[in-house]
Amino acid sequence: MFFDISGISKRSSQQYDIVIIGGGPAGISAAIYASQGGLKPLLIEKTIEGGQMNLTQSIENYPGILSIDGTVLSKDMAAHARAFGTEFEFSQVKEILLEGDTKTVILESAEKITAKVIIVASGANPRFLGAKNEQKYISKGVSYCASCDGHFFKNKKIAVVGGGNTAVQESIFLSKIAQEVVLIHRRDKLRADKIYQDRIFTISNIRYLWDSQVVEINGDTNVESLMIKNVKDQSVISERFDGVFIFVGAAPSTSFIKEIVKLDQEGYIITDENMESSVSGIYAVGDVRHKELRQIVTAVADGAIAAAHAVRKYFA
Amino acid sequence: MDRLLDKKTSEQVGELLNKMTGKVEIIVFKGNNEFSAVAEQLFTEISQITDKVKVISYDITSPVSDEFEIDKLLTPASVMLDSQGNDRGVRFYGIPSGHEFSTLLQDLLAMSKNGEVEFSQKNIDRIKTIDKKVRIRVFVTPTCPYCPKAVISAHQTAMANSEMVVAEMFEANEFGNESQKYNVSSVPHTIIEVKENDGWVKTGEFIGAYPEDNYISELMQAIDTK
Ligand SMILES: Cc1cc2nc3c(=O)[nH]c(=O)nc-3n(C[C@H](O)[C@H](O)[C@H](O)COP(=O)(O)OP(=O)(O)OC[C@H]3O[C@@H](n4cnc5c(N)ncnc54)[C@H](O)[C@@H]3O)c2cc1C
Repeated sequence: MFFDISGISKRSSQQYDIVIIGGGPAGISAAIYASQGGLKPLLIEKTIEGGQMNLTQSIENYPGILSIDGTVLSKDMAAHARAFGTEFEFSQVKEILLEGDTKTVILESAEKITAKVIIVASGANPRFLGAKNEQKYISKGVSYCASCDGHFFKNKKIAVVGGGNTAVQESIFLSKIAQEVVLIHRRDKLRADKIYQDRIFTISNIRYLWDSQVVEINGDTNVESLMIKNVKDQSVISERFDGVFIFVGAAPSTSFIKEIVKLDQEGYIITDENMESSVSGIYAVGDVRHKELRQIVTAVADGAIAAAHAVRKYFA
Repeated sequence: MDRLLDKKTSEQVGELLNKMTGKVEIIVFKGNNEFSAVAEQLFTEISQITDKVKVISYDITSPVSDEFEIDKLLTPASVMLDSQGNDRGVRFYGIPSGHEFSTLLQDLLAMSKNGEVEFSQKNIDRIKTIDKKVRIRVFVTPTCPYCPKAVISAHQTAMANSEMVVAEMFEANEFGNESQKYNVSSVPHTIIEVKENDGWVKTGEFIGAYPEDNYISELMQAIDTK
């Protein structure tokens, strides 16, 4: 049993040198480096500090930490930023307005906060699979978060869709709860890193459907079966499942900024090597940014680079 | 039982609850189960940190539970009374641990200020127009990071119109039967019910934590369309 007390704090001003949007690892790291540079940052987070790290039970590739629960790392990182003087505001950013050098952040309450520099660290959200009826069964057996919803499937049969690190890690976690996990992947081998592959292949209650795609989700009120298509021979089978967890990548959270800065084709924010976007004084860090590897270690690196650069360029 | 709150957490709780203005009472209705003992202990530990929180426990068989319309089968159930000693419709079924612990503390702060609601005036006015008895049940799990927002929204709604609205956190793991009854398989899952001829009728539900305006719209729609 743990007791979390984040989510309760209020900001002290309407005006900040630097406002960071998003309290995942990228935003938190930016906050720490901004504080080290002598600034008083405001970090705005719409749900909970730690971002996507909260969605996983085990992180095993952050240097110096062999294995850690994502919720714990989230709390530790946020406490670190607080200790250095970061203020947290729990609210959703709706819009950003530009007027000369001043940037105005509009919150969901319509309150306005002005800043000289903005660091966008809003991360990404799970991508939908696009199977027929997927939306209809969200929360009726379709889930995107194993650590949130996994225990509803105790001793049941569940499908996991995907083949990357997240799909494999979460399958391993779910295999401890469910009776059987069937990993459904559209290719004939996993994309996940070797260490995760070595581990998953030793687990006896995980089965694999290769070259397969979930095309339709069916059931009465809840998920009862999946229509699964073999992409090699186009055959379609229906198999009974109590639930399906989908881990097929993520889409960037940019609704409040997409009109202002340059994005790549998939909607990620394009930056230079200092993490500055096409608008000077607006930076983008972490999963929301156009880059190859979206991980905690690269998110915190982005945050540090952006904040340190902003300190020198705009506040020296 | 070992202490639930470690030293560091207790200190942080103390610091936060320093901002309470009035006193708040937590009434716990206990059943014959381990969860009830844990809930009672959690509240008691908080009351040892600040003298602004007072805890009273009853066995669920006590007639006091009828005053608050607590179902005898659902324990632990907890009710918060505001700084004036009034029931503002704030309920917890199960232990507010994990991320829900911050919900508990936020409620304590608000209730110590006589049920201070942080919604915009426009939304408070809309909630005040509710003229039927409404019950909001929010199913959560302690590990769900998005759940506190849904529970806080529900509790704030109850504080804004305590005559008509009761808002309940439901810990889905502890109340497996209830979760099944309402077909909960993802959290947060908010169920809206309206009282009709002494029974509760479900008139709406939604999944996830919504921004304030959307939340109020969903809620009002669920109440009106019946
Ligand atoms: C299940 C799972 C397992 C993973 N496992 C690992 C692992 O083992 N190792 C690893 O390195 N990485 C792992 N990752 C990836 C890692 O979590 C991400 O790369 C990392 O969290 C990205 O950090 P970020 O700060 O850029 O964004 P995020 O973590 O996505 O945080 C962004 C934050 O911004 C907030 N936000 C968004 N929009 C707004 C707005 N408009 N207003 C206010 N706030 C907003 C969000 O609520 C969120 O908290 C995993 C991811 C998942 C989903």
